[in-house]
Amino acid sequence: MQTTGLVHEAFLKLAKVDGDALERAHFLNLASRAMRQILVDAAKRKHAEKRGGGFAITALTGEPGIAAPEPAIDVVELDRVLARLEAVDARSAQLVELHFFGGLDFSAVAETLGVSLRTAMRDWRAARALLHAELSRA
Amino acid sequence: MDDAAENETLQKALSIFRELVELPECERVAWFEARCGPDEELRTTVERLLAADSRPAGPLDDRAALFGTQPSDRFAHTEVVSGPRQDNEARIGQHVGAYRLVRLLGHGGMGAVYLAERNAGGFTQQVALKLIRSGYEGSDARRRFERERQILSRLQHPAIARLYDGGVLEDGSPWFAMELIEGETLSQWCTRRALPVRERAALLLRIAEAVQYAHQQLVIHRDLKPTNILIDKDGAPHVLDFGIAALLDEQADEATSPHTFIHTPEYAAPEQIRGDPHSAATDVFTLGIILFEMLAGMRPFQLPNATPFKMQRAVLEVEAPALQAALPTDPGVLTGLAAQRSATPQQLRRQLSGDLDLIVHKALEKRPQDRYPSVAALCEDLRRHLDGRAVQAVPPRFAYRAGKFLRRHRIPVIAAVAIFAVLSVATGVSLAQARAARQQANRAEAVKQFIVSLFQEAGPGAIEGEPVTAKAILDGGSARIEEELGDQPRTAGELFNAIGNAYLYLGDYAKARKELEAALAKLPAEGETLRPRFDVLIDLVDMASHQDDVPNGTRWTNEALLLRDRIRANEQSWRRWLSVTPTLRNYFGDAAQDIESRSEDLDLARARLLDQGESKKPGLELRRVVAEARLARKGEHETRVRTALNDYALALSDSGDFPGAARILRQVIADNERRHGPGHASVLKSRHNLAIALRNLDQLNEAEVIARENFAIATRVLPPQHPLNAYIANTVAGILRQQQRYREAPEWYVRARRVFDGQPEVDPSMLATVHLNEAINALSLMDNAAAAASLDAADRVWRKASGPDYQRRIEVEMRGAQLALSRGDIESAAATFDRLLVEERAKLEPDARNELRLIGFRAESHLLAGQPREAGQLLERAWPIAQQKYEAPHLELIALLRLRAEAALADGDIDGATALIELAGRQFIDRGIGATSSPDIELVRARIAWARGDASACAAAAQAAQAGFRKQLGERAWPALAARAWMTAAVLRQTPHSASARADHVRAVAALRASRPFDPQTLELAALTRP
Repeated sequence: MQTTGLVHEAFLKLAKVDGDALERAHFLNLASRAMRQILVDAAKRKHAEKRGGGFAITALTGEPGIAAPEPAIDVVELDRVLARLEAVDARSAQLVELHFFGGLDFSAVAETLGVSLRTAMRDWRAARALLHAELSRA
Repeated sequence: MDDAAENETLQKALSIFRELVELPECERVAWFEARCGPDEELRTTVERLLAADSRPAGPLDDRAALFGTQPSDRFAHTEVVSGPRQDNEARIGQHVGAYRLVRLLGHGGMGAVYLAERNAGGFTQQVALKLIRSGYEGSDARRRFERERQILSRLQHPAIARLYDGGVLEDGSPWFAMELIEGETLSQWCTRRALPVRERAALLLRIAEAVQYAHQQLVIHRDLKPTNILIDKDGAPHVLDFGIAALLDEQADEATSPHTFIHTPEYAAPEQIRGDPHSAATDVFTLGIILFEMLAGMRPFQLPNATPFKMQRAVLEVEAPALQAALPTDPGVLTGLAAQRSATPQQLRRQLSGDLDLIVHKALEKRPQDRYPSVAALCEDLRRHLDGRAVQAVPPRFAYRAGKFLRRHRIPVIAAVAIFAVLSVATGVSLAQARAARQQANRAEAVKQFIVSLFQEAGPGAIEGEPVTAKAILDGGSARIEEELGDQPRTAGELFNAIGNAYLYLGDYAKARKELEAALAKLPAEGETLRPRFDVLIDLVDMASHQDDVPNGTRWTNEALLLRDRIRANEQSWRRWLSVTPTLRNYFGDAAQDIESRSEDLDLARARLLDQGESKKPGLELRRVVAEARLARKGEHETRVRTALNDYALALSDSGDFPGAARILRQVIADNERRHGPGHASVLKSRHNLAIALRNLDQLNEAEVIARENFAIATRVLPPQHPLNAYIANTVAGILRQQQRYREAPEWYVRARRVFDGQPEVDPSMLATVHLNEAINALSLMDNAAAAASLDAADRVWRKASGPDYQRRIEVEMRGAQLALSRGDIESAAATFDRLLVEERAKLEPDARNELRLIGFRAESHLLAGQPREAGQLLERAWPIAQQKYEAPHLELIALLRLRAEAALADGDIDGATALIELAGRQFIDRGIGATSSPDIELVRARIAWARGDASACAAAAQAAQAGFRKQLGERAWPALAARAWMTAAVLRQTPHSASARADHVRAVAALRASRPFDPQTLELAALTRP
């Protein structure tokens, strides 16, 4: 998805800008969440359809408007399942946002969350397991 | 299990999971038992987690699918720094190119600078050799580097440090051999000599002249700052590192090493921060900053303890203070500063408050077009000032100073806005005018996508956020674009496009058109704006296809096709040029792919437009081509293929090739289920279309199953206001109707309608269609009042939008006439049917289905008007058409046969009628839906029996008919009443002297009279008991 790639690049560059640790952490959290929201919105939008063909029937036509390749991952599903994780373990959900949506590697994630690298990696493993379990269940 | 309890279990399960993975395998079972205990739920959950953990790859491991990149492993918080001093010193004595490193002069952010020597023809040349730490991979990179270096080495100006030589070491580090300048930095020089204000201005003039020279050679410095400027003992300035920034940025793009792109944020211009291409005006800005600093002792946007992030915000948003205002307030400090300028504080203030202030601020204007157009113009004004002449710079406008430069939406996703605000991609000139265009395009595209996605927050399927309506954002957005980006036509054009798109999505075609045309106005068909103009045209064609605006749609299509060819041609020459540099090819490569995909989107929009015409074939053909192209492209994304196939299948459906459509759709669904498992959301559309195709093939059982299942899935995965729910519900209703289960349909239409509660503007066409379908169903149920109400509702919705499309227009008129017919307004109904029939036949490809239905209605009109012969003739002529269109056994054929039987009967041809109705009956059984007969058929049989004088057969058939109609339509419907009356008539004939039989019949006739007094059956039945 072009947007994502670019927002992401920008994000990476931006994240290199030095700032005090607290401000950075805050910013990175926000930005990762923003990435997630943008993606989910875009994915939901893709599902929407304009009007269809015949009257009594109304079958559906192709994708509307802006064409961009859709990701193979069902972002809407992922978002739903992530929301589930949020209800259960907010920090792990945040971790997923930072790592998966924000693209930070684990040392950066650990720093942002204020935990050790080991904890971050372990939490990721747990979160990943949960998300995958929920996704395949759907 | 309720949510809270479930969450608790999950929480526990996660903890246990975390513990388990830390343990060696052999200890896990025991731990598991101990921790989980007897709690079944907990055990199962932990097991699920373990199972998921052991699976090798899942969506979360594949960011590339989503983002195209993996998380950066070399995520560095800081720039590349040179190694420790020892590393640098260790190189002394080594050779770099033809030079020998003699002494370390300094080291800094990017590498180290050495004094180096070369023996050339008997004398020793000394140079400053700068060695950069970073990786250059591949011979292509080196060739590129070479080319650039040659350009830079041509810069010959007394104030520009010559670039003699350069290269790339084995390990990939680039090096430059530059003119060795001995001197002090700008700041040192000015301070040591207590240079007065006037001399400082003069010195900057000389520096600016050097920059001007370089601009004429099409080289931009990009990293101008005081430390890059040395002054030699004669007071002559030398600017270092010209264009080197450009070279280094190229290499950084290869992502071999992280590299900040704003080299020196303190001296960056607003457009650099925002990611716009660098231009001459950018260097004007930087020179402005340098001058400001030379004069006032501090930089205009300097903040105490500011992070670079904050500083960049300041550059974008804060107005540069007056020179005077930037002076220190502490008297002691101020005196010291003034002394460094050989002046007293009062003198200094005076010197800084005149024309110099104006010059500096003109250079520091936020918008490039407000500044000096070139460094030459800045030089001119400085000269004027030094000569004592009037300067060009004028005081800033109040309005401008009062407003903020960048106003942004204040909405939840504000962090993303911040990202854009500081997106910085440096651009260069030589080599990369194209790259600048590309990056500008990328940025604008990103902005556009971002804005559209923001609008979606307020549209259907919204997630939590501020309760702003999409319309409000859109309406506001458009005006702001003009205001804020008037000077950037390309970005403005793309944003207009984005908003136009958002309106399209919302179904507000009028506004969409306005925006899209505004976008066109901003994007002429030339150079950089070719591609965005192409995109806008595609959207316009799409819009036209939904509004059935064929003339404009065609106009836009033609231009789009021309542009497409031009863009393709451009891409061709790019590709030849890019073949030299594979890295750049990767960078640009996706543009080529992109144009073909976009081109296909254009084709799909064209196809929809062509559907409005009389022939289905061209649209069908286009879709087939797109579908095949996408299928054939390796690595083509699953969704794009599916889209094309769906579209194609739909078009096949439309053109009547239902078996073809069904076949394709089954394939799509099967493929998808293989990939994602059954019941997955991504095939909602395909399954829906399949249900429709099957319905048209009269395979109703399967169609119903699929449609109902689809609805269940949709309810589960889509938000309730999602239009797709309505489409699916509508289809279920249609399938029920086709099985003549008319009374079951309304609840589904209501479901469909409810989707649009509170948001009628989302898909007015669909909402109106649902109303129309409800009207049609009401007509089947013979409920005139409900039919009239629904037709009205449909009409009202259509009036607000763009009106019904061609096909629906026919349907609306036909149903209106049908309603008139059931109210006894036979003449006008007949006239309408005739007219519509003529129109239909006049088409290039008449739709047999429409034709047949119109004929059926016209025949009914004849029958009601007491013209059975005309009815019979009409129907007989239609019979071959029907047989061609429909394969027996088919509901439509049965209906036609029945009508023919009625006509024959009314005309007195009892045998003929019998033959026809028996044929109908047999076909009905052949349909195999379980029933042995339909009430319609039984009613005709009853009437035939009556005509033959067989009262008991009549009574039996009439009774069966009545039972059937009651169940199908309810007992108040006309056919049920008619059946009842025939039954009472038969009973009366069998028992002519029975008073109760007579009374029954009178009652039955009264009901008929109340319902359809004009119907010949009413008259005939009434005659029996005429006093």
